[in-house]
Amino acid sequence: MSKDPIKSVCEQKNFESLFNQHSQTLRNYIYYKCGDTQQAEDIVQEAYIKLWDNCAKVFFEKAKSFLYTVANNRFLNEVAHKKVVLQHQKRSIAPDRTNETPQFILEEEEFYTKLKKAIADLPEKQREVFLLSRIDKKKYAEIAEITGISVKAVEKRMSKALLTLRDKIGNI
Amino acid sequence: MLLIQIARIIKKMKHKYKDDNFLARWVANDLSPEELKQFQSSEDYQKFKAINDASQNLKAPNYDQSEVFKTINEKTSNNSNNTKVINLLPSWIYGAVASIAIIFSLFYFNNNNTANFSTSYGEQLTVTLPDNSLVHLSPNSVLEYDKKDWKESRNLDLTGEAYFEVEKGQTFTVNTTEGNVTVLGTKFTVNASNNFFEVHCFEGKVKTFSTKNNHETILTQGKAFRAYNNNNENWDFTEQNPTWLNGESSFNNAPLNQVILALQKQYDLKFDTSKIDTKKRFTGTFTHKNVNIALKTVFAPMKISYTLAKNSSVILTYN
Repeated sequence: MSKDPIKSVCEQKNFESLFNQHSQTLRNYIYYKCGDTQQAEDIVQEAYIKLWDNCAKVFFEKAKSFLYTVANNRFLNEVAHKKVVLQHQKRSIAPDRTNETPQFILEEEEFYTKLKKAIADLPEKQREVFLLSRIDKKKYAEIAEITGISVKAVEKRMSKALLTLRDKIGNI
Repeated sequence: MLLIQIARIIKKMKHKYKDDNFLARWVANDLSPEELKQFQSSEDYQKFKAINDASQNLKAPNYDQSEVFKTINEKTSNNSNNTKVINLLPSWIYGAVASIAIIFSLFYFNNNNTANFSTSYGEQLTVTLPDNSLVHLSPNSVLEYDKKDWKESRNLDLTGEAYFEVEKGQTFTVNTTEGNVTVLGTKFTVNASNNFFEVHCFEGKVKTFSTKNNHETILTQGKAFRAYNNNNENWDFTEQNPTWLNGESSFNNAPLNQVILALQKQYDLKFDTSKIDTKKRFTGTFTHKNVNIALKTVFAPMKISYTLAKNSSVILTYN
């Protein structure tokens, strides 16, 4: 009545909700860094197993930052880096759209190819911020929490990423 | 001609991105209407917009969340799997497993023999020992003892300050880095910090030994001993209990640095003592309830003025 009961990470349902809430972004975050889905998922697994092993010592509210810290440390020990490969959602062909000439679609495909390559070539720190914001739709404050830097620094990296992409892609 | 063009471009750029988070703010819809209007009319706007629009359609490679969770579950519940395996094994395995379990539990208990208690800033803690003796820990102190050996020898390790009410029985020894105190059954305080060792005897008889000064003293009720700066000091007092149990710390001709240390432990403060002489002596008390009153009662009689800085550090100067 007076207070919410303290949630324990050791309870299966709480652990599972932490998994459902954070595992996708955590995995994407590591993927944006290393470009290897297998490695990213291994690190996610390790982070959650470590959380489970330490469930009595970690507050539910601190579990997220625990996960990111473990994953980050784990990542720093890994060396293999691959290029990040992204997909894009194909536009559903709407009946009311008549301007999608083959020429237009071709140009669009070309643009996406350029964009993806430019993103893959971004410095890791710009790339992770840019993609957490654009793909995972995270707010700058949350990205700051994930990456362990200030919001101001996140904004700087975001702006830099956009400038780099513009320079790389050039004219559309 | 070229120079003028470059200058123009630089001017334009400055105009557009007047701070280094301008683009980030644009992405987050955080620009003012004027800023946005100006940006939209610029040449580069279409490029940035295309990049931003397209990148929001990007996807990370597929992620099979339930598959990953399954693996985690398998790895975290290994124990239940083991039971199944054991059931299919010949019976001698049970014996082997049982002995391993016993060995492990012995190992476990052996390693968990030390009891450890500690207090943080402003915290006090009363510990009841296995023989019903009581230990009151003052702030920022650590007490340790060996549970297994307790019956044979009542040995404790102390860092900081504590008040002991010892039940009659075997020899009771408090070890510190500065010296040790041995008793049979009595009440006393021990305060040990760097180069400082002080013992008050409230009841019975205690034997103190200062390691630094290699000096042994026997104290009876109402007697106190201090080893400080290679000096041994003895004095009498009248209190029945240490005052710090009742929300006050008192000092008898104590070196000022010890008083400051006690303030530090009580209120989690940092002191800048570079401008004062901490070897001066202080007699008096300070309260645990109000930091301002405490500072006033200690420093006013010493003619020291203090300023409380924002980061909870206190600068001490002479008036």
